[in-house]
Amino acid sequence: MTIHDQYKNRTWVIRGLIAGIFLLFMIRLLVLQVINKDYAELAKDRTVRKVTVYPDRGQMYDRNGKLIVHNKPIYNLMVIPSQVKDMDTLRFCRMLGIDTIYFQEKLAEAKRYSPLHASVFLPQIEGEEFARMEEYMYEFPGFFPEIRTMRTYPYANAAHLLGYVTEVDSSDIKRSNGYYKGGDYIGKSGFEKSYEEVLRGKKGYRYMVVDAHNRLMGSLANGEKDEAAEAGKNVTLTIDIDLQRFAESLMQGKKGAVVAIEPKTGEILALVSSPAYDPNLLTGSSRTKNYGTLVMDEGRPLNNRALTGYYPPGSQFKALMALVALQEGTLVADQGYPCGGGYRMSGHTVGCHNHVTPSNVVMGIQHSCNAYFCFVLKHFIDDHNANAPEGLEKLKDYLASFGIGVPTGIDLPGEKGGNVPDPEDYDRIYGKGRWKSSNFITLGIGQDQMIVTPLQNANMMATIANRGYYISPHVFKYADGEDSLLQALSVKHYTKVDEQYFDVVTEGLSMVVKAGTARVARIDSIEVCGKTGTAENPHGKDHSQFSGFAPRENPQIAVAVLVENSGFGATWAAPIASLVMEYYLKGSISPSRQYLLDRMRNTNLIGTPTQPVAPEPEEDRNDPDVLVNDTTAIKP
Amino acid sequence: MREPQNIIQRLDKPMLVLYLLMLLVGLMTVFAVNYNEESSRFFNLSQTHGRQMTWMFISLVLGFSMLTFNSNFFTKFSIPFYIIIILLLLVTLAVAREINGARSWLQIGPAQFQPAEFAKTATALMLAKYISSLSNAVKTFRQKMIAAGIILLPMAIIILQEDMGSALVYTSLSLVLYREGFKVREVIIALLFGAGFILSMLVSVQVLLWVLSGVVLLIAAFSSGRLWRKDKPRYLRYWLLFLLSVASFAAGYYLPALRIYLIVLAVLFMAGVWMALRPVAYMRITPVFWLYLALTGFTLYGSSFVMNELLESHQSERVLTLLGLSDDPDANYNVTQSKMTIGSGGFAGKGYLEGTLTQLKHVPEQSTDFIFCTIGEELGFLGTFFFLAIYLAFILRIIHLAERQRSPFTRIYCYSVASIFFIQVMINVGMTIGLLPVIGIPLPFISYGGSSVLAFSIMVFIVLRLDADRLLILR
Ligand SMILES: [Zn+2]
Repeated sequence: MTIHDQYKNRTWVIRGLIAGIFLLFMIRLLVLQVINKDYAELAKDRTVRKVTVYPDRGQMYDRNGKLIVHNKPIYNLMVIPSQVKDMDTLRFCRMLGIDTIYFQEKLAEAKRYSPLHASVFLPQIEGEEFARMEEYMYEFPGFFPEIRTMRTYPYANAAHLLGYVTEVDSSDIKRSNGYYKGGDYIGKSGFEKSYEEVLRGKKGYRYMVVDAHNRLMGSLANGEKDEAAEAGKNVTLTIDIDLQRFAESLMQGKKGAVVAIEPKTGEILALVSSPAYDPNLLTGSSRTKNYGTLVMDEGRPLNNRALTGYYPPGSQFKALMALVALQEGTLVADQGYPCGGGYRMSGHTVGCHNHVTPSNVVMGIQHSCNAYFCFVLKHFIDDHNANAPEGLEKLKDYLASFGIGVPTGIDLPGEKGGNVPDPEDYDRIYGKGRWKSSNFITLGIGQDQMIVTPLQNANMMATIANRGYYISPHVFKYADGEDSLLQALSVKHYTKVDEQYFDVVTEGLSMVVKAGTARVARIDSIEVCGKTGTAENPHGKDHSQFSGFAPRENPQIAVAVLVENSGFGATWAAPIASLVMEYYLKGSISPSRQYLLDRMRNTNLIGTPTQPVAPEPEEDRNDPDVLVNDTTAIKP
Repeated sequence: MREPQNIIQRLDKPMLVLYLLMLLVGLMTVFAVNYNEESSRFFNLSQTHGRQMTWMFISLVLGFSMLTFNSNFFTKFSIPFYIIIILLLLVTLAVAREINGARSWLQIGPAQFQPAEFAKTATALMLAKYISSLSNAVKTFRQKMIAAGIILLPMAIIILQEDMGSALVYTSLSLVLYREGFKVREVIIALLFGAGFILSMLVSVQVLLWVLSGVVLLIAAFSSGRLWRKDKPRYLRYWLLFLLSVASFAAGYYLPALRIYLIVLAVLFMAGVWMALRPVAYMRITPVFWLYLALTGFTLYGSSFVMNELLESHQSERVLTLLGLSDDPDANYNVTQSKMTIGSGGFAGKGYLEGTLTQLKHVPEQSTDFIFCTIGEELGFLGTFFFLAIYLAFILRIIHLAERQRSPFTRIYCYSVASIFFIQVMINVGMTIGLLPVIGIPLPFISYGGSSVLAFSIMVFIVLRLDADRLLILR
């Protein structure tokens, strides 16, 4: 059945219409592409370039409003290879202070990246140098400057804490979900990294019309399409740059760290890792070279020892051991233990030194009696627990509440949490169920497998100073509109030890300085509390340590000091810590202690550990922190 | 007579070759657009062209497997298919989030697709089903309204999705109605409807009114001689009222706040007056005036509605600059950049993958709406000429197939497909060469986009399948 198709002829109208339109388009294209050259010429002459406007990175101020980090302009010389014309290469190279080999290599590299897109030809030319060459720039088409800023540090201090800024790498770009583009800067370490989003601001864009000679013809649409850049926020830090500077001067020529915290706020007052470096080295054109030198340096100046240095706390730990045992009830304040030169077990001795028999906790701490705290640990583990692993777990729990064995939560990247041994660790060494408190008795005196960072030591002292709580140490103090950040940084972490037990321990720490092992740390008219420690170092001389706080009532500062390979805690660490306290609390060092200041500043302990050093003060002669017997002898 | 094992042999080879050729051109072009130094490998499925290749592969597999269907399948299921698509469009309207100013994308798990792309096929099948079911050509008013309704229903929903480009595609089906017996003036009205649509995007309200007033003036002048001789007072009254309406337009022009209100009033006034004045002897011109009134009303509402509600401001700005009506130099940015890019290709082009402006991403949306620029720049006039020639051959081939069918169903379907391809190419290419306003709509098989390639491929494979049974009468 076929329907009569009366409209069959209409197909030709339709086909004609379609063909007609196509023909019209072809004619239009002929005009556009072949006959009329206007658009082609336009394309040749004009391109729109999207220029990124980099915001100023936020500046940084110390707690007293002193400017510690700001920006200065610097120029990157950019090149678009396809626009480079014949030119006087020699003159160009002379002007820039580069050789022709660099010129050829850089140009080839840029061409490989893209003949049409700009790449950096010569990075980071400083202002005056750039002004000198700017007026001749027009002779060299294809080259143009890009203004950037560079970090500068009026005080050449606090490099580890502040961190540094570098160009983003491919993984930064990938992670940022499209925010960063090649050539952007990003905070790579320290505070610059933690607060990148506060400091960086917001990039802006300008749409510029550029002619074939790469001359700017003005902005597109009178700049209406442009997006303004937003400057990064200025930030106030908690550190006291003068104190930081002072502490760094004391650590000159020594490896180690100093951490000073304001106990009631958790604010970091100073954070030194030594050897330090001048943060200005990692900016500008010589950054790469300097970075290489720093990486190769045997002193590892780029390591932040304050946050990542792993050291046994040694005797400093005794105060904490006393606290947890008091809380647990396995120790009472007037408990005495015998010490006949050490703690004796079947076959081994944990050595001690000559001192009066400690008849209570205060004396145990004051004289830093090893035997006393071996007893304390033994009773803590054995008295209330079914077995040693249970006791160790309990101890671990207590310590975690003091920020020991776990990160303190400082707002700087890369913090390490130290180590408090697990039952599993001893299972591995002795076999499951085949060890008891005597196998790890030296844990009670901060040895065995306990590892603590200087920051944790300082935080521990801040906690004792606060009688039972700490606020995570932090460096951020204030930035406009960032109150929420601040709130997160003011949370009190309470320990598992009640406030009542702190008095007796504080008395002990006070006695350490008044009439104990750290008399060198005394400051006129200020009651200092603290504890020395000497960390055994299998690779050389012991690490000298001291941590404490002052004044005893209403403490203003808690300090931890560690000096690597330098001997007893009282020799280097205690004087340095007390000088830092004195400087912070009094603003200067009293004349009577000037000799101490000079000795600390002028002693170089790096590289020549065998060289004779200044005579040690008398009270250090019988440092109790040195064990008569090697602890390893305890192990079967 | 039906020999399923011979289906490949019975396919129209020229059509198949043209289709595959276009897929190839599309893939090469998408590769060229996204070509850069970092990703120069061709076989890389994570890149844009790699994803496009995957979609093309899926389309081919699906297309060839569709060839195993019985032709009756398409006639039988055209009604359910249409209903499902309409429901899908409604669902999309309800749930879709806005992407690029339109709410037309449906998210299913990780995949996104645009039901509007498939609605074209469904509408074509439905139209074919309805008209072929009539015992004779479309005759009665009722039949015409149903045929028009089949087209207008999906179109209306797509307009509500604010996807103006896709909606506009449906106006091309008026060509099919014309072929199937609609009166020329009915088709012209339909086309003017579409033109009014475009015009309302193109032209500011004032300009449109002046143009229309000019048309009225011409008609008046044309009919004046006879009216003057027959009925002088009525003739004068007519002129008076005409001038009055022009004056009210002018008032609206100078008092922008009152503009829309006055314009609407003026139109209503004119309509009433014209009915009262209508001289019986000159009935012949009344359809033209009805048309005029309908068009004016539509464009008045349409244009302000379209400008204010449907088009995002950047889109209407682009439209306005096309006519030099906007003083925002940025709005004609796309078109200028596009023309510059095409123009820079010259006669023979810069060479495949050598398009500097393409690589500079000189034109926005270059892998989708403005993909024709890349062909223009890299292959020059030779490229664009042969590209359009292939496309023309492809469309004319479909019409050729349409005319050799015994079954009206297949004929109507083929015409629908040809019309849809035609208008897609016309709007897309017309936009890039500055002959039509900027309306975002893909160039079939060339523009990047999975839904688009798949939907157009299905459309073509149904043509191939139905044509293989051209000696049958399908109902
Ligand atoms: Zn003792």
